[in-house]
Amino acid sequence: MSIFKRAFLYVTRKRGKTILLFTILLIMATFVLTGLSIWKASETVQFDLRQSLGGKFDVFVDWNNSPYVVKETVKEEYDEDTKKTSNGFIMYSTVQFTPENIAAIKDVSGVKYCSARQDNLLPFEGLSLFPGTISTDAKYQGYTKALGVCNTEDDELFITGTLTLTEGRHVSADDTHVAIISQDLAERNELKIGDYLTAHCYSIEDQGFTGQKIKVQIIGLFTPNAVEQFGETVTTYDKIQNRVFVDLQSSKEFDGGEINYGFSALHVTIADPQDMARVLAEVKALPGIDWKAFTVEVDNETYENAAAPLAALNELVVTLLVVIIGVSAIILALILTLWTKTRIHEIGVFLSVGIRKPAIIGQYLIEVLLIAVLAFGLSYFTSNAIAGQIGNQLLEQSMQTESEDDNNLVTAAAAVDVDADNLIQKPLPTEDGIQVSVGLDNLAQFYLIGLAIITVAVSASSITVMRLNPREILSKMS
Amino acid sequence: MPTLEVKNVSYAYERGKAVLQNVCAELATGKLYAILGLSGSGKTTLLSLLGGLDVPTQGSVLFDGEDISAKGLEHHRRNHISLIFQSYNLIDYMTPIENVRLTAKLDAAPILERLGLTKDETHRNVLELSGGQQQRVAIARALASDAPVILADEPTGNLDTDTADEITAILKESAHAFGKCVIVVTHDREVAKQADVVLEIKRGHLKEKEM
Ligand SMILES: Nc1ncnc2c1ncn2[C@@H]1O[C@H](COP(=O)(O)OP(=O)(O)O)[C@@H](O)[C@H]1O
Ligand SMILES: [Mg+2]
Repeated sequence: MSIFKRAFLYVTRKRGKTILLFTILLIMATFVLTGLSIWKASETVQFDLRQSLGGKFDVFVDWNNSPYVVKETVKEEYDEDTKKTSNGFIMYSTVQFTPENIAAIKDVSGVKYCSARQDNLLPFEGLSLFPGTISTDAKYQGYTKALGVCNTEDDELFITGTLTLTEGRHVSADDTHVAIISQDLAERNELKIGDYLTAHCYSIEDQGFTGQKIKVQIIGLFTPNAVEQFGETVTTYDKIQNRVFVDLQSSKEFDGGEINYGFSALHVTIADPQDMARVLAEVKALPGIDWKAFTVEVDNETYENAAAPLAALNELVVTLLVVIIGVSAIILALILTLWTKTRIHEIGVFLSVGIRKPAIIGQYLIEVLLIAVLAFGLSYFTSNAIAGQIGNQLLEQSMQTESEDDNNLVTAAAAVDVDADNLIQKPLPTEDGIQVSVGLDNLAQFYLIGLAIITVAVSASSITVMRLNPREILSKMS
Repeated sequence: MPTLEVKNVSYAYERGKAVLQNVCAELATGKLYAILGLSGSGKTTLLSLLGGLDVPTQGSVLFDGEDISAKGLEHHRRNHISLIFQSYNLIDYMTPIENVRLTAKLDAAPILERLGLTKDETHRNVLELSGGQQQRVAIARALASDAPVILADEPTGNLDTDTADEITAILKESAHAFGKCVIVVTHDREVAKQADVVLEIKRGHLKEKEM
């Protein structure tokens, strides 16, 4: 008689034991599988959260230590109010980021966006601006901010969703003498795509924008998704509707000098904040960037704040899972040991008819596996039912309690970029509900785990059989 | 040539306390042997040495002229020996015929029938069989396994006199009709009366006894 036939006979004839073992295995499997699926779901949520938060770091000129920083006295200035003469000076770095550097950084895997701006505060001819809530220095009346970028699509304000391009197209690296303004500003000034804005470049002699005339063509219009709240203080030139985006070439021309040929600061957004160290290392290894000139500042706090409660939950689930697996193995081993002790006569008969010990233990293993295959299969449904309930609650709770505790998570996670510029609230991906369900991949994994538990338990319970000396058969049987 | 030969076998569980001393015996096929002795005299010990369940402290056991430890005791147990105990001989989750088929090399059904079990009984739950029927199944399994030696340790110990006589008769038939070497350990003199050869263990020594 084959080992399988023996195992099959045992399982089918000893129904009470089979049902008991089936129930035990079903409960264990449900626990483990539920834990496994919650763990998986929490990993997924963490991953999604990381993706939605992204990570950020800034690279900028190291004004204190860079050997390339130049400080030039410009002109003596006489201040009417203080009756003092002061030396005006400008400070700049002779090493700056070029559009090529930006392109290289963008190519590093894991980097989503690399944005850089030159900004100039300047007046555009005949452009009527929205007034700010606080008055500006008389000198800057009628001035607004012109941001010179390689491409607007990668700009902070657009990637965070604060601004959306509603008409026309983005400024790209190849463009010269183009601009994007707000829809509101366009309406106020009766401007449309294709129209021109005019400004003059900076003249060092005159100390003002009185130089050569520069015309930029409007190629796109944006709409802000949020404006500053009521009562918030903002100057005219900082008002989001007054913002003008131009290409780098135009920006350099506005600037007038030869000094600012590139960017002195970069803002890099990466897909997964967990990748921060690697991405940084790769960026630092890029050729063509002189790191003596720059310094890096990492902002991973948002991620760390938001990910902490989930990481804690994850740890808890993993710990629970390990405990459940361990306890399951122990309980199973104890039960099987007890049962093996009651099967001592059977072992005696088997040994006496020449069935070897490994074949006896093998039969026990097959018996448990036969029952386990069915119990595990059913546990797919029971754990799915439970995981859907408990899992969602657990995950949602862990996110809620955390946000109630320090009110940090939601704000931290939502206001992806906490900036004067950035007022948009991005919802967490998890708010749409966390999907906790048991997948077939979980089941497959669990079969492996279950097999290990059962093998350990059966081996442990079989010590009695292994120890049995053939001579003892006779004394045990009499 | 005798099937089993015991050559100057001594055995002690503890040093200096010999259970068997210099035991010699020749056991041939086709004969029913009875080993008599008081409780604790060493009958089961001798049986375990014959069955290759243990090794003698001194001396040797030969099967067909070869030391049973030469090819390994397991080989001896699997191929030459069938054991029958006083009770619990059957696997309770197998029917009688399945119990016989556990190690059967021969067709189980005719052997069971010959030992007096009806077809219905061979498919019953073994726990519903009487003690005598259970021993018949155990003997049938020994016969079906085709091992040349049957070692039985007090096979009638749990049975009433009439049933014991029937089982003894079957064991005798196994030796005479099936050509087995049947060795029965017993303290029952009635069983011994049926045997072809009666051996007795007294103070560690084995002696042939005239009945
Ligand atoms: N495993 C053992 N360890 C020590 N002594 C044993 C063991 N088994 C049996 N004995 C002793 O050996 C002697 C013979 O035992 P046994 O062969 O079982 O006798 P019988 O079967 O004739 O009643 C007895 O005195 C018994 O106490
Ligand atoms: Mg005994």
